Amino acid sequence: MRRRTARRRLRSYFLAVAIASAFIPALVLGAGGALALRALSASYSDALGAVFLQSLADRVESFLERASRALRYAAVVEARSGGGGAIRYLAAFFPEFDMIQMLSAEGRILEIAPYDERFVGMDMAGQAAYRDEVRTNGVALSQGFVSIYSGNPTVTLSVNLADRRIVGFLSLAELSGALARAGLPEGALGLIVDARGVVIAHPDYRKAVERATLDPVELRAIAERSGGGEIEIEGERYRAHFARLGASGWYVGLARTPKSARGVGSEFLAIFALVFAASIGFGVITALRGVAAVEAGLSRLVAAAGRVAAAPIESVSSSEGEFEELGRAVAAFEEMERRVAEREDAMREAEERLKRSLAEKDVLLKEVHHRVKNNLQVVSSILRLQAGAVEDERVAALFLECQNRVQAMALVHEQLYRSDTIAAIGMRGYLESLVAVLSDGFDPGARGIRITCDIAERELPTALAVPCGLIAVELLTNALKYAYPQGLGGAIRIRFEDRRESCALVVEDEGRGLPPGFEPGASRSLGLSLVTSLVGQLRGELSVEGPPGARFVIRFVP
Amino acid sequence: MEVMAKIEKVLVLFAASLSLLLSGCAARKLEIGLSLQLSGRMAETGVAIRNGATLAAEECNAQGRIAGRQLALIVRDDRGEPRAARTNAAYFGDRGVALVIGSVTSTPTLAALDVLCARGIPLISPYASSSALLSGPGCIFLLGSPSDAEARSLARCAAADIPGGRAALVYDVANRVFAERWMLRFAEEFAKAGGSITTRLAFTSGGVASPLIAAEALSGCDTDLVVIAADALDAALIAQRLALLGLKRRLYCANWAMSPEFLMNGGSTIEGATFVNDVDEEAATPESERFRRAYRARFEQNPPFAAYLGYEAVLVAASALTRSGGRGGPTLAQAIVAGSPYHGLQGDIAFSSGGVARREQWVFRVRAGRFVVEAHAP
Repeated sequence: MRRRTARRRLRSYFLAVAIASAFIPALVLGAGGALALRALSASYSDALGAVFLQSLADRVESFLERASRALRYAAVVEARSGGGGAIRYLAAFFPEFDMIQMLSAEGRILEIAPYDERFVGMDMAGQAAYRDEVRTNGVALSQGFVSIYSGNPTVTLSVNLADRRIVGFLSLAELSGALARAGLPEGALGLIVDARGVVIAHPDYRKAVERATLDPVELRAIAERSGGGEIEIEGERYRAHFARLGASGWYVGLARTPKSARGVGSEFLAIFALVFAASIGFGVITALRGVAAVEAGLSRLVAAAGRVAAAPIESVSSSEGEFEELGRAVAAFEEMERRVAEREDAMREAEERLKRSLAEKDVLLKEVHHRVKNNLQVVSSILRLQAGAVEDERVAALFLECQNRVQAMALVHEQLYRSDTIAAIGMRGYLESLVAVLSDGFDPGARGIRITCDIAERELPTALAVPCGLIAVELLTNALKYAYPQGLGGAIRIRFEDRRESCALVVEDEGRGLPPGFEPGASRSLGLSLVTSLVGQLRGELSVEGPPGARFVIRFVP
Repeated sequence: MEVMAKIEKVLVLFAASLSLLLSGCAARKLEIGLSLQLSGRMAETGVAIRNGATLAAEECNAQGRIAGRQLALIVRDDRGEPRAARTNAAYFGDRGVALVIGSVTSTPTLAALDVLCARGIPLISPYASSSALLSGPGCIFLLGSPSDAEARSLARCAAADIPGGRAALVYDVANRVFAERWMLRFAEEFAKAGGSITTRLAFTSGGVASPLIAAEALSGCDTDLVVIAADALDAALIAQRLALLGLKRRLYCANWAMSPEFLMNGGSTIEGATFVNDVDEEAATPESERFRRAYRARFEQNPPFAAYLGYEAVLVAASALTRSGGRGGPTLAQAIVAGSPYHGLQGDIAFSSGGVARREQWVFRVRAGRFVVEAHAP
């Protein structure tokens, strides 16, 4: 149950982190940027469109005005000079006029340029140009049509000259050329449309020849709206702006495909939306796969860790993780686990070997101590026998002192081989044994001497315990021999204090005390010389007090 | 892993649903190909057919969908050239249009016919009417009367006007498929009715010189009437030149020339020129009146008679497509015949199994710059 909860939390964390760190900033920045770019682009595009329409309107009106002026001028010249020379001159130097006719009042051709005598006299009363109403500028402008003679999109300009009429067939091919050269972006289309909605100029000249016809109702509605509108051009919907020209009643327009009209921002927005949607999908799948991979890896890690801890949690999943690093980590961990187990086994074996070896050495060492103790015991017995064999009591006493000293050393080895450890000796048992040995030799009870022991339980290394024991033997021997002369009894106390950082050995009595000016270092007594020497081995301090009585204190740091 | 798999499935299902939804939104339109002469000498006729067809398609789409789809016209210019017409036919075949309407003259129509029939695409010819078109594969439907019938009818009319008359025949071999056969039928019928042919003059259209030279060639001929099988400009120029040369003769023209360009360029020299045609631009039927109003509102001009035919061609196509459930090919061809008669702008249009519409024909004469119906065609 806990594992399921942990999985959910892990999945939630992954998704939350992915959304918080990538999706939300990307959404805000991307969408905001795209909308701003779109608005900027649309605004820029509209501004450019307005400039284009204005320049195109100027171009068209200028084109018509130039042709009208030329035709009016030719009419004036023709009125003065006659003979058709002005018409032929105009046709030669104003190439936009494909043909110029001078019609009689009945509509018959009087003059024609380029000149072809076979046309002179033909009845052109059926032409619209013959009937077109002349406007305020003195020129009649026809609707657009494609000349059956030249094949070009054409309008006729007509001026009246007394009882005659001069009709110029003005090719609009130049206007299509101007639109083609306008350099509009892809998807944008410049158009010139006559009042009926017939396209008379198009960037693709053939389209102008084919006379696509826009819906005039839609066309007028768009021209009246400042924001433009949608219109169908040859089966495609366009977003268009149209402006109506005053004199001709034509329209100039800029049409853009919906894609082009939306501007750069929309493309960016669309791309961003696609990328964003893809990234969300990819992110969710990746996050979930990541969760699954981490979860599988973790499961294996947990199981492996459980085995390392000798407390298996659960079995390792058999499925492979998605992350190579995690998989490698799991494998490495398992390898590590195997190696640790191998080393543990090896160490356990080595430990067993060491224990066996140590036990053997302990036994051996105790045997050595036992033999040394026995040997010292033999020496002690020899000294005791030798003391019993001499008659001189002083010599015998020297032997006995030696025997006590040897006995003291033998006791150390006895303590060592009897104890569990051979590196340290319990001072209480050791010193009490020494006191018992000396009591056997000197029989203090018979002399009214009472020995009391106050010995702290403290273990000392052999290197300290032996000098300490020998010092105690020497000082106790001195106290037994000299503190209480014949007939006097008293107490001898031996104390061993454990002061944690240091130890103190105190031997004191209440006897006759030390001679005046006594200095342990200056004493010629063998026992005190030994004491001084042994205190030096202990790197300790010796202090002597008394009378009354005598009190020896040895302090040392174990 | 289970949850992840479920989420993956949901995402895949969501993407699939979205793509289906989008594809449904972008349901392809029901396309009709128009291969017409939109540039060159007969461009005005091609534009009129296109405009009539456009109006019909817009009205169909406004009224609802055909088999759940909108109609779309795919218009291509064939310039009156057989090669361009074949290219357009192949394009329409590749595009998978349900049906093709075109062309203006018989020569490019015949060129496209082989390509379209090979792909099983029906062709409705609103204007080109040469009977030669009917001799090939049977996937063409003539909306107007065949040229043989028209030529014979005009010949009978001429013979009635001038009993025992002598006729000069002038025809444009640039559209040989139509003109030669038309002239042959006229001559046969005219002779049968008591007339005689004094001159046969072929020319090739292209510039303004050819018809003028042809007219001049008639100056030495002894004729009562001149019969012309040419386009509107050539016919008008021949009339003008004959008038200037003082050869005032009665004119009888193939309805190929029956367009506003003839009236514009012919002036007073074409007064009395006689035609036989199926469509009356000034007919007072309610359907014709409504059509003229709608056409004027949409294109701000009066519809030439070719516009009537373009309109009717789309009406027939839409009706047949409704019957075929939007399917093209042979199914649609069968539906066109099975759906007859269609309620046209000027009476019913009934297709024979051979693909010929049986329509009433009229004799027209030019009066004061207009085509005026004079009588039923004999």
